[in-house]
Amino acid sequence: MSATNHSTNSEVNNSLNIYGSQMASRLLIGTALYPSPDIMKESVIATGSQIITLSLKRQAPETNGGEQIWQYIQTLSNEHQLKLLPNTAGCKTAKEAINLAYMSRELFGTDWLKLEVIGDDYNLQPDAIELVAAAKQLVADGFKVLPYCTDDLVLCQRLYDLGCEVIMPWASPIGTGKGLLNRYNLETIRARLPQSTLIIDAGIGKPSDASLAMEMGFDGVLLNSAVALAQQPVAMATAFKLAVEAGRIAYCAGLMPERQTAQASTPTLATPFWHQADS
Amino acid sequence: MTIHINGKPYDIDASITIADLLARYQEQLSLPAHFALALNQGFVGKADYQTTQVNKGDSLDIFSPIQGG
Repeated sequence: MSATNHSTNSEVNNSLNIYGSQMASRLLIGTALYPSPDIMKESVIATGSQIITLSLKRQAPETNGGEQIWQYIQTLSNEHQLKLLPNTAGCKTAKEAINLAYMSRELFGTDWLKLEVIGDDYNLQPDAIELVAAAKQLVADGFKVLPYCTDDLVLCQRLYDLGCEVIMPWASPIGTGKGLLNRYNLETIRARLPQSTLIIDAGIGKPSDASLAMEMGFDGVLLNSAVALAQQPVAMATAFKLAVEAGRIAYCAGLMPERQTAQASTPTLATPFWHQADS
Repeated sequence: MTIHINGKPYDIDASITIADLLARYQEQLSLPAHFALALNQGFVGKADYQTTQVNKGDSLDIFSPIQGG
């Protein structure tokens, strides 16, 4: 099984396809957990990302809701032509996620949706059954669904079959920074769903994790904590931008095949003091 | 009769449309300019605020944008 089955590596394709929209950047970035709104803004810009994620939350009584942060995100989005990708974080059933999706579409004016339906509070693992049920309904209702899911081939296949053109398996649980825990699963998904846009979402901790995902042929990477929780988020944002670009170029260039034994790179014939072993 | 808005009880005299309810409690709720809402966990679009009634025991949840990953 090899990620090189996905497509012709020699074909350099520098745009990320999200339901027909072509994005120059293959990095999607979250807007949460930054030390301040200004650092969030600088970090988002440094990633070069064209897609930012955001969410909806029940407003606390007698507070001004999220108006201030919404104004900030809206200004950032308008100034830098960023597309909004609302999520359904916090939803545990298909019904909850569907209702939140309708609210997102009305409020943010987009039919793009990062669909999250969480089945376990401890590791924030998606509930596959509720996720598929929600995705089916939302696709039928005209949403462009980007489901966040586990690295399960059959689940990804089901989501693709019901109309999800973009699928976002995790690398590892949200916020852990553990990187790509199961490369075999991810390579299998990439190889078996060559027509889908596959984005690694969640668990990325280091720029090298992002590079690895891109080298494996994934179409993009979505992350948040790895930048927001870095000691210097803006510098880390730049590191991730470069890592994603490097990984994509490497994938398109075609990686050399692995070998089990050493093979000298310097020619040995005609080198000084070289003697063929007597047989 | 009692209804709940974002989990907090409010007493109202009679059934009322969402539009009238929001107008009445706008200040008390500190309604943001941008929000969406659900009545009894079901989405209600802005176009239906004028015609959707809030009745005894109903729960209205108001959602607003936040940062997200």
